[in-house]
Amino acid sequence: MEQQKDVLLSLRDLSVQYKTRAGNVDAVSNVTMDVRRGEVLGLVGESGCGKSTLGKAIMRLIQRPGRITAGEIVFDDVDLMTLADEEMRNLRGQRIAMIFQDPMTSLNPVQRIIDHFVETVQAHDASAARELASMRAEEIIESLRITSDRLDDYPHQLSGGMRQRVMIGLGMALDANLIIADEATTSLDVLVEAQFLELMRELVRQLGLTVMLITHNIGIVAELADRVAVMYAGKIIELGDVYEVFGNPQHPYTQGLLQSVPNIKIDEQDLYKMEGSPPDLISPPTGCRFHPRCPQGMDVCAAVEPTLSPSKPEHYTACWLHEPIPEGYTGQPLQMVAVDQTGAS
Amino acid sequence: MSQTENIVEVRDLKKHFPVHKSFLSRLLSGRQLFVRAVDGVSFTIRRGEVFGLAGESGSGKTTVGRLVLSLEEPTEGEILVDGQALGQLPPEMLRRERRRMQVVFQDPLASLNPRMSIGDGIGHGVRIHLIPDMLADGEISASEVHAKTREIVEDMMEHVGLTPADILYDKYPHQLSGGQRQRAVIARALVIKPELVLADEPIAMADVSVRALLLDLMIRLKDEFNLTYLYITHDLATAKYICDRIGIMYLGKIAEIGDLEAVYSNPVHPYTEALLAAVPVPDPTYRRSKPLPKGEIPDPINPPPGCRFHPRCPIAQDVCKQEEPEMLPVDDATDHMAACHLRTGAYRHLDPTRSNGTGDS
Repeated sequence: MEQQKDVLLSLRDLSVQYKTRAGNVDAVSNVTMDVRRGEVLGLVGESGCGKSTLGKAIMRLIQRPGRITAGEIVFDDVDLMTLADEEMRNLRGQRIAMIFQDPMTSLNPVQRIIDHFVETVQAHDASAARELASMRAEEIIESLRITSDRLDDYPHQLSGGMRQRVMIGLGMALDANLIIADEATTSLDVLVEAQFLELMRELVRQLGLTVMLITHNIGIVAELADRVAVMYAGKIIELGDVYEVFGNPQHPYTQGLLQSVPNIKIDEQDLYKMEGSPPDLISPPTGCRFHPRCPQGMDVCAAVEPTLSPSKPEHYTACWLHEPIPEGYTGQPLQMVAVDQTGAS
Repeated sequence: MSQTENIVEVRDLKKHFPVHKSFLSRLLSGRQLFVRAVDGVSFTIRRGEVFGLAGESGSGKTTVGRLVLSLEEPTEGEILVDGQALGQLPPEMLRRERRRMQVVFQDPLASLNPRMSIGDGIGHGVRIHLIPDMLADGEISASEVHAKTREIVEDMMEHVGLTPADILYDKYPHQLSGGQRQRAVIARALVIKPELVLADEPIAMADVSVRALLLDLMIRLKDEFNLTYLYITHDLATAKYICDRIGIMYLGKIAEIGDLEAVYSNPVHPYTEALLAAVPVPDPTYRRSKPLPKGEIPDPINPPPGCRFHPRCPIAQDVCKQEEPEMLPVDDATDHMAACHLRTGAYRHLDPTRSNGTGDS
């Protein structure tokens, strides 16, 4: 797709499926995209679109009844799908770190912060001296604007914002190349969130971190991301430079999503009211998965799935409005007979 | 009961929750500690308006909402609903008064009984509050109770967009989408014809694309049923779409209050300024201009002396550490008020951001 840039992580046709009693849920279907070294890639979508599953799949942390059914996860020229479990375990934390929404569930409540650092370092390098690890921890924690005396605290003694910074710090302790932040600021208050985002921006600039920012919050993506991928019903439907995608959204879903976000800086903004709700992924709609809700749906949309293809050099869209319509279809508007009743009036 | 212009009046409201400690530590310290969740809050809600209370977690906004509905007993202060103090009502009267006040919470799945069908859930209040009166008035006979309840419920379901009502009536909460569940909670609140609705983060759990629809629905229903909303939220961007007036809370107190328009376009308290500036803007070309305040919301057991915001305030002076600021009007024309020594108080000359040439108003 885009070999020219320095690619750190490359996903090829990645699919994840959950087996449930009601049927198989295609949570992530045929995702192909790259994360470039030193960039912040925002992955946005609504709940249930598969964005968190995609994040976990990269770490190979999908647990039963879920399974990666197909695809490649090429990280620094190695396909992670070919690694043995032991090799994968070494890579987690050391090369790819993950930050979740609730840091309390990731930190050990009966372990001091300093011990988290020592343990993390020693888990990947058993010969590392405790003193060395402690020194590294002090250095890191201060760069995260936490005084080093707080290293002796237990997680509950830190504030929510500090705990989230410690999580990043643990990733930094091993010089992780890629940080996957899954709704990392969602539990933070707006002022603390803004502080956190500012710090992230600095770290990205200074240390050249590569960050995959998974969030439902469009504002955060606008603030921090260089590129953005929009996910809908298990698929990437638009991908590109953040200025491009926000300034000139191509996919009707992206357009609707952006217009339904309240913007505190705009007076008298009418919020777009998107009809319907995301589909059931046990039996997703045929063709384009957004077609039952799409105000611009055409006959082809219900029948044939569009592929993510470039409409401009740094802008990819999966939508028949931006691709030549295959033979046999007219591009006539879709009769909106079967609008899903769920969630809308 | 007479209709007053102010449906709710809250005067110097306080709620202090005792901190439970072990017997030993109580023996050793000897002092009972309190979380001062709400610590002197006054405001009025006018009939027919949407009054917002916004703030970070721990600001006390939810506790104020619970106090207004008499779900908590205030430690001090007074709440008048239609000019009447609820705290003094005998339980049976309070129960009848409660019918006029309903609540919509953040998590619809937690608010709906998983074993009750949507129709039964919405109809619960109807059977308790409306049917007995109808029977007493001879409006319906005992044999018509079931049909009448269903009729009222389906009618309300159609109002909130839960259609087809006759089919969704028999569904269970887990069979509905998130947006539909929140509609069911709204229907349940409105079906007994309340006057005041406490909406505590009502759309926080909904997805972006569903939020706009729910906000729209709430505004439409307010006009249709002549409702007054107390809208509690941490999200200043969505508050902009629904609130007429807003109070900004910080650590148990109101920092600033006024018409939404005035507060948003001309924030006076440094906390309000910071809060408004911190909201992520969905526009990559936008860059924040104001520096962010340091640190996080302090411990409400030991709130800072003086102005509670002073440890984080970018313009704090010595007076802010010593004296607690009073709530004072921003100007003479409106009821925009703020509690800040340097912006509305007697120390305006100390405000480092004050530009030369602007005299005191």
